[in-house]
Parts: sequence; structure tokens; C-alpha cells
Amino acid sequence: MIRNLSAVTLTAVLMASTAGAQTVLDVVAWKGNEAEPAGLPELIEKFEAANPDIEVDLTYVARKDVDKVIPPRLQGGNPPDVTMVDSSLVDLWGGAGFLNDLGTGSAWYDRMVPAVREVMTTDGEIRVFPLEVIGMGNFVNMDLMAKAGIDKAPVTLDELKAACQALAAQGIAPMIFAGGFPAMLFVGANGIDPNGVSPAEYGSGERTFVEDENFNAALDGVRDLVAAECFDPELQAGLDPWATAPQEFRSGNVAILPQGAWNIGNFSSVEGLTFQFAPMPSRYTDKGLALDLVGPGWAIPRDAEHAEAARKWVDFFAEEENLTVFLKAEGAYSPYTGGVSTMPDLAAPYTQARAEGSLILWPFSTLEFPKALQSEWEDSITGFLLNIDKPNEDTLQRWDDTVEDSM
Amino acid sequence: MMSLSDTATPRTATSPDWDLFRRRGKSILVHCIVLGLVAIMLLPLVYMVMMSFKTSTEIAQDPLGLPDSLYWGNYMAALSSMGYVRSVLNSMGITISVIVVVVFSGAMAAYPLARLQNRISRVIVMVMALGLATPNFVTITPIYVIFRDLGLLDSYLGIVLAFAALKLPLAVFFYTSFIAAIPIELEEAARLDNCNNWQIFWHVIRPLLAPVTATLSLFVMIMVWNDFIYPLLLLTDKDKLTVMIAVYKFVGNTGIDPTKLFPAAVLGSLPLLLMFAVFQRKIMAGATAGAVK
Repeated sequence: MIRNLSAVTLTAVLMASTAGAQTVLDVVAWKGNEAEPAGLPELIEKFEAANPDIEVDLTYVARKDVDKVIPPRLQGGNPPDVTMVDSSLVDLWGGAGFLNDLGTGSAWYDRMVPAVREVMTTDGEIRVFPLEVIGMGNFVNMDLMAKAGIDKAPVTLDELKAACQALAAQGIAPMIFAGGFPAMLFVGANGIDPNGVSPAEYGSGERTFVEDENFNAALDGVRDLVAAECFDPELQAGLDPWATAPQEFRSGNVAILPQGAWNIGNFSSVEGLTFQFAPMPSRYTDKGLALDLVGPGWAIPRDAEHAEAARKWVDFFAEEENLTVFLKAEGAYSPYTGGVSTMPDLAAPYTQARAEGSLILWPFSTLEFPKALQSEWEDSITGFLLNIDKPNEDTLQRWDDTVEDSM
Repeated sequence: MMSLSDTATPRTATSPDWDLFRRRGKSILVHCIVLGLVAIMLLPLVYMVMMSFKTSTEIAQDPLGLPDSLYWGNYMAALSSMGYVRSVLNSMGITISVIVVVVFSGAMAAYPLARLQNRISRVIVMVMALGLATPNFVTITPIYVIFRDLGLLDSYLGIVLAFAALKLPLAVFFYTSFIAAIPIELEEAARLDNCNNWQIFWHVIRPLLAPVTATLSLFVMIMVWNDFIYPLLLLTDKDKLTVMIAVYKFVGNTGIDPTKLFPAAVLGSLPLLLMFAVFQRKIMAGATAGAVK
């Protein structure tokens, strides 16, 4: 009796200690919440099934709050086991020695698209596993275009201006050009020559914006759009690019919206909204210019408590079938060669421009432009929309000053 | 004898009827302006509640229109993923604890600082003022590291102490200026009755602090309830998270889904509104006590 009781007790203690040995993997990401699931709930379930000794504890921290919440944990030696990072965080935290080298010997490292590999590798170390390259261009409401007698998303400046005039003639609001992000995309696509000056030359101060013919022409291009009745610049300057602008497009109140492909899922959920995702019309190409943003990735902090489990997490995402789930949910391209395309047919115009080599990597995501310049672009382009007749110099000089301050 | 002209005196601009008419007109105008301002202030709240009852299709088709019917599905979805009751209880417990700590320690710290007229007390008040002006991101790392060393991470005590430390300068500043305005004669009278410092504070000064305590509690309550950065940093156990963290899960990086965010925001602010509604009379009475002598 006593022996049996002892055996039962011992078994119970062993079971309890086994259960206690469960590794809780602390993952912090700005995706995976209710607003942007990015396929993570499904992937976590699959990961836990494949690794029964690991339980994933995902904490959502919005990108804008990551800079406040994670640094204290890194500095306090108590970081998450895995954290989502983008190129600027890799530069900042990696440069301070807070991130582990994931090893350039990894199989996935060799498969990385060369341009992405070049951006993400520092001093012979790779401190991030990149998850996605995501497109930025124009969302085009094809039903509204059809009402104006147009059956193709505009990819050249002439097509865009003609579409604006035709839409305006039908009483349809042609385009959203909100002062922050959407306007930046057009200016970037018309200022950065994919076969000309490297963005790094502007970002390093080697070349000034104010004297640059391309960026002067880009701002002139905005005036041309105004003349073509694409939008009212003063009205657009006051429009919120992240809440109101997408909502206006979802509601079918506007025909063209410059935004990122991360909205594909959001817009696809609207019943009866027929749209395409197209490259940005640019003065350098008649195919439209694809603006690729090097997206976030996973990093393992130096003091991660469960580094081994964290490595399993990264390796799990390196498997194509798992990464595909993430990419499909995000509406993004794989940063690895030979991956299966997960982009929907409605993004065919963008994918085609990309395939034909008509693309640039967004210089803010490759750190060719300093981070501070991004908010300066947003502010000064908004100011430009409010005073569109003022000389370009007023806007461009501010960019040069910001670059100089960042050096 | 009255003349005809006396009885037929026309109403002048200063006659009682005219005055009454003018006063009523002015009152109606003031009420209209106030109601207009209240309507403007309530508009975002009304919009939030209105959107929370609309389906995704309704929002897309008519973002500013009234809902066709009250669609509770959004609330059910939000409730199912918020852990609502638990997170509200956490928020209430943390907020009330912080208010108690801040009010007591702030008042006790402020009393000597208001009464002692020497360099040290002035320096301490200035340091407290600096604490008010220090941005959160400057203190966040030291607080995290100290709390890690003290073993206070992921504990209710830790988050209460962190908030109390952050709000204490505000309390000291509030109370110091208020106590300084209390006539010293009240204390002298108490001293003649053989009261010691503690008794003077507790029986004479503390009751007079009701108005400022009401205002301070209101400030602290709103700040602590709405803050999500410190809970996000200091609490990791999902069972300890506050209601604002639960709402935060619905905020996207590049946009929002109104059918998810708005019901969550309504639910997140509902307990605070209810607390206001219940305690409104007391808060207002406290805030205006002593305003008129």
C-alpha cells in the first residue's frame, strides 16, 4: 500500500516537474494582434504543436511604442527571447551589441535576395531574420474607374492625369494625396531615379535635394496633378493618412489611394469593393515604379533567456510553408529567392512592374535616408501642399538641413 | 390727478418687462452656446459609440450615418478577446491603490515643505517640479532596472509603486501650494490645545485638503487608467494586464478596424465613465468646497 502510494506520489512529482520545465518563449512583435494578425495565431499553434516543450507568449507592442518598451528590457538584461525589428532597430540595437548574430552560415542567409542581404548584413553579421518585402503603390477602385470609361489602373503620369480629369468630370473624387505617407510615395517615386543617382548620395549629404533636378521635378509633378484636378492640395494637407484616407477608399468615395500593400487584406474584406494594387506612376518609367519596403524580421537579443528555443522559432519561419502563411496574410513578397508567390491577382500590375525590374527599395527602409528625414518629409510635404505656389527650395532645403543634422 | 400722458408712457429700454426679456434672451443665448460646445465635445464620443454598433459593410458604405440597427456582434467579439472583467478589476485595483498612496504620501510630504521656510525645503520643491517636467522616456529605464533588482517586476506592488512615484511630484506640487494658503493661525490654535505635529496634520490640515484631493484624484485616476506603457513594460503575466492593454491589442500600426477598435474603446472607458457618474456629486462638491466663503 505504502509502496503504491510512494509510486503514485513520485509519478505525480515527476509529471509536475516535467510540466514545470515547459519553456515559455517570450516573443514581442508589432503584428499578431487583433488589428494585424499576420497569420501569427495560426503559426504559433503550429509551432507549439511541433515543439510541445515550448509555449509561445506573444506580446503585442505597436511599432511606435517599441522604442519605449524594449530598450529598458535590453539595457536591464531581461529582454524578450525574440523581438520583431526593422532595419533601423537592427542598426540601433545591433550596433549597441544587444542583438545576437544569427550566422551568415544559415541556409536561409544564402537564399536571401541580394539587395535585402546587403541592407541587413552589418560587419559580416546578420542580426535579423527578414520576414517580408512589402510593396507600396496605388490602390485603384476599378468600379469608379469604369464609370469614367477607364479599364486599367494608371501606371504612367499621363495616364494618371487623364484618369483624374475623366473621374473629376464624372463628379468622382480622383485621388487621395494626404500630406504624410501617400504624398511621400509619389514624391519618392518621382524623385528617385531607379537607374540614376543612388539614394545614399542624398542621405549622406553628398548630393543636395535643393539643387537636384529630379526632386525639383518631383515637386513640380505634384503641381501637375493639382492642375489635372487629381486633388485639392489644401484639403489633402489636413487628411489623416492612416485612418481617414483608407476609410475613404474602403467606402468607395475616392478612386486612387497611394498606400502600402498591407491594406490588401483590409480592403479585400469590403463586400463589393473591386480594386487593384498598381505601381506608382513615375517620370522614369512607363511601367510604373514598384516601391518595395524592406519589412520587419525576427531578432534574438543577446541576453535572451531561452536562446535555443528562440532559434527554433527563427528556423520555423525559415521553412517556406510557414513563411508563406505570414506573407499571404500580409500581402507581401518573400525576401528569399525561389519562394512561392502569395500575392493575389489584384496585385498583378504591381507584381508585373516588379518582375520587369521597375522597382526601387524604399530608402527609409534601407537606411540610405536617415530616419529623421522621414518625419521631415511628412511635415514639409504637408507644408508644401498648403503653400503649393511657393518655391521648391523652401521644401527641399529643409530636407538638406535634416540630413546635415543627422550626420 | 394723473394726466393722459402719464398712463400712455411708452415702454422704455429700461422698463422691467424689457429687462426680463433681455435677461431671458441672454440666458437662452448662453444656454445655446454652452449646449453647442457640449455637443462639439461629445461628438467624438457619440461617433465612437455609433461606430461600435455598425457592421463592417455599414461603416464602409456610410461612415458618418446612423447604424441601421444595434449590432452587438462587435461587442461580443471584443469581449471574447479582451479578458474584460479581469482586466477592468486589475485597472480599478491599480488605479485606486495609486490614488491612495499618492494622496497620503503627497499630503504628508507637502505639509512640512509648505511650512518650513528654508533653503532645503525650497530645493526639494524645485526637485519635485523637475519631476513634473521630466518626460516618461527618461525615467522608464531606471525604473525598470531598479524594479528588476528589487524583484518587483510583474507584480501589482511594482506597478502601483511605479505609478505612485511618477505621480507623486504632481501631488506634492498641488498640496504644497494649497497648504501654504491655509492660515497659520489655525495651527497655532491647535498647538495651544496641545496638539502635536501629526495631530495638527491629521485633524486640522487634512480635512481642509478635500477640494484639492478631489481634483488631484481625478487627474491621477485619468492618467493611471489610460497609461499602457508602464503596464506593458512592468507586467508580463496576462492575468495582471490592465484594460487599456486589452484595448491596445486592437490598435494597428498602419490603420484601424473600427468594428474591433471602437467597441473595445467603449468597453475600456466605460468603467471610468461609470465611476464619474457615481462619484460626480462628491467630486464636484470636493472640487468646489471652500471656493465661496
